[in-house]
Amino acid sequence: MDFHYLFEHKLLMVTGKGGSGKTFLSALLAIRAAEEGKKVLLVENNRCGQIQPLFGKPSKLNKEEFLYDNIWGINLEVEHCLREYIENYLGLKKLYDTVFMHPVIRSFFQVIPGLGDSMLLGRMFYSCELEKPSKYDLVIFDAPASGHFSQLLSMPSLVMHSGLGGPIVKELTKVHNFLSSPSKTGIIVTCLPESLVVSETLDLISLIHNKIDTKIAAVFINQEIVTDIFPKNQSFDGNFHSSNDFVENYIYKKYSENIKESKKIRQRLKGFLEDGKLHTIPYLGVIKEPIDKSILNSI
Amino acid sequence: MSIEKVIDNKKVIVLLGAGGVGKTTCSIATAIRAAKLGKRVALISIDPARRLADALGLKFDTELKELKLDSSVSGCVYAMMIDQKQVFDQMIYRYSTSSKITKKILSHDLYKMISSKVSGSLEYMALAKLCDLVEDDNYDIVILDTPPDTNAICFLKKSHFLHVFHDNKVMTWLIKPFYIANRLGFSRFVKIGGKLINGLTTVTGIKSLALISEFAILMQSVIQGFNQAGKKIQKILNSFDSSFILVTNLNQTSYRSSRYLFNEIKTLGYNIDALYLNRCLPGKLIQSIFSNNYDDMILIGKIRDKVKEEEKLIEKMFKDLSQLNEKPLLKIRIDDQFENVNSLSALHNFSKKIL
Repeated sequence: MDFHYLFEHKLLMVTGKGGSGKTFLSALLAIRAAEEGKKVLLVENNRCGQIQPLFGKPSKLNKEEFLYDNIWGINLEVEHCLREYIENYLGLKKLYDTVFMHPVIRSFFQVIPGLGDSMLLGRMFYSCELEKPSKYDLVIFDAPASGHFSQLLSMPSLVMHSGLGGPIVKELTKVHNFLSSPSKTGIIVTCLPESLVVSETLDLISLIHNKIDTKIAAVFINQEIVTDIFPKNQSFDGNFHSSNDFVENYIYKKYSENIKESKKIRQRLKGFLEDGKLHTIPYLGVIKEPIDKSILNSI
Repeated sequence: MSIEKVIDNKKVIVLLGAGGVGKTTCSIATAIRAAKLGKRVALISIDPARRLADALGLKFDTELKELKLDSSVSGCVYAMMIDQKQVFDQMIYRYSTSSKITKKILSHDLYKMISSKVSGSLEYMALAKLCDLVEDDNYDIVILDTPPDTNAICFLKKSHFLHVFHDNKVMTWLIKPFYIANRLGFSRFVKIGGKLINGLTTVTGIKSLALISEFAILMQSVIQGFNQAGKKIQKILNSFDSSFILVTNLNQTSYRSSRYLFNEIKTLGYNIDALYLNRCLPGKLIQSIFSNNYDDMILIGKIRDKVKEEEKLIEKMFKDLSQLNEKPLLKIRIDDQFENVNSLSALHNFSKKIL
């Protein structure tokens, strides 16, 4: 499958319902982009790091780690981003040590609404656009699940219109422009062919489209059963026919649900998404760690 | 120990787990299970799948609504999906000392932002509601379904709000100088404000500081109310009346998240009584899948691999987590369902699986 058009972005943000395979897809895209010669940074913001273990490395915080050919990974904490921003970007190291290490100020900063999310977005903006010399061609963000993601996405414009001021707000305007530029930032949504997941995904997509006014770069249907599960001399019409056998019954049921829901999401996305932007990741079974590049060949 | 015993002995059950493991479904099923034991149950959910909520007839609200259960069920379930902004408004009405201040707070720009959009405040609101319901004699047990993020565990530690409001020193620091500042005018205040204030304005800008301080002054009385509520919540969650249930799926990622969450809950001193292993391959399938009959189905190989992997993971996970728990941990294996669990009747059936 051709993902090349996705790799022309500077930042890819992968979201979707919890458990729909965001981390796996982020890793997969990173591997593909790296194969095209791109230098990739994989970012997550997760107290329990998932990306580094997926590549067979121990989970570390706030440090860019080499993961795989041309791929680096980092698990970012919000407080660390604030520190970097003040020390390195504003060049106020002394200020950070004297002011921001103060326990009272630290607490104070924790209540500034949206500051954490803003810092995280700002940090990625830095890696994509500001860092000189630029270390990465592409940043892939294993973003939060649907609910938190839509909050995250609306954060910069919220802060811009909050009446707050200062350098942080000024910078956020740049971040906002970067995130809402479809040539620079691509939002990718993952989905499973299961009815509850499909309906939540459709809600998320229309929210992103209508409220946040950003286009979606691609949708991935994960764990789609695309291999022909039956021997050649039998056929299956996709409808559920009950069998006396438990195993057959289970597989037929799962298979027909899978087909039905994939069809549904394809149909419903027709107005939203151009052809060629809807992709499939076949059901791969157990994903072993570290991730085995050969299983990606089937995609 | 069975789940009945947990339900019988506890006043609060909190379900935790990484995103997408089926927490909301399990919460509702646990609530129905409790109702079948004759309990009057209050169920608080945060942002469940909309279709699930639709199936139950729930809307975002601040009020509980009774679920229509089978007539054979002796208890009842009252459920609500937290509407962040509405609960927040309620708290302001309750704790603010005058209607003038209430009005000012509700129309303040920062309030509008925190109350509806900022992640973290929803969790706090859920806890505030939990606190109310525990004290309400109309309910025997309160079940709380938590948000999907692993990061959400923070809200149990010290929510963003509690963190600041707990500490009186911070409050004095926040409010007093700003009170003076408001009277002096900000630019003069910053001139005399010393290192800390000057440092802050370098980054946030003077306007931000003014806005935040204005807000802090308005919120003073409300904050004291929040503070009381926060202390109460900590006490409830730490008591033996509360129980935590960890919901997990069976793959490496879920295993890692579960171990992380488990550790965090233990560190906080909360009781974990049960582990729900959700979406296990059905026992009947496991029994027969290795028979030769299915060799010609391509998918079978993958499912066989999954069976082996799941068995290994269950053993590893249970052993691992039991070691961290001083009490025996109840392991509840919930089979992957044939039907979609997205209607009340399906949830009824599903609740039977939690034995």
